Amino acid sequence: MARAWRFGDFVNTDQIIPGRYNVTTSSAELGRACFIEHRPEYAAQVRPGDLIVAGEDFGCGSSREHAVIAILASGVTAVLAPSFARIFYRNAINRGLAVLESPGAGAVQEGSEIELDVARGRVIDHTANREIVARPLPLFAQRIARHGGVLELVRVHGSLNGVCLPACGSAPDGPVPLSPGRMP
Amino acid sequence: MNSDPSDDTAACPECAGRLPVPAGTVSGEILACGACLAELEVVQLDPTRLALAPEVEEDWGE
Repeated sequence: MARAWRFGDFVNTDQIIPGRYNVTTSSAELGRACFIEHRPEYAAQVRPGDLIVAGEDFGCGSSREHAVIAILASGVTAVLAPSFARIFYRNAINRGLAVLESPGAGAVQEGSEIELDVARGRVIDHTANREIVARPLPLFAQRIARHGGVLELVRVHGSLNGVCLPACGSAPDGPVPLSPGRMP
Repeated sequence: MNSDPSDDTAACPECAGRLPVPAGTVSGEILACGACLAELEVVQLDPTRLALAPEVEEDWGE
């Protein structure tokens, strides 16, 4: 069962990974330094599959992509928050970190046993015995995430065109065929 | 969920029935209508307003 790591409003990217670590490209090193000043105990205690539950505007500040890499490398695969900083949100999609808007995220307490049901768009808070909404990513963003990031998607398909193939309605499972001329 | 006697009620947007809103309910929480079984999202508190909970069209392929 995943545990919730609770953070407040306006957690910025320098709190996620201080700027002095941005000279490395080692994911492992970034993971070990994740929240090293803001929550020094985090990197040593976080377990694979744990979730970050935060307040408003998570990931504000610098646009550094290292913030997303550090969170992923620490073992966390999803962040729930009522809102995200826009560049962090894009970086997360590009890297395959699940970022889900959840208006009730503020009610989840530190250390709560929670479960993310991505398919239903629900956060199940077993500690508080309730479910809250987790709004899914737009379809085109889900498709990028399913490929493990935008670079892998482009590597497979050669282009972003066709990523948002169905203007409305369901999308096919698996890789999305290229459809030149259609805009994502 | 608790059943505090001070519990409020709210209207189901699907069937217009009344359902209890337990004390301690938070914005974004999912409640189920006992009459029509619709899953409802709490979109406002004081007074409580409910909307049909969003349906997910596609998962992450997991």
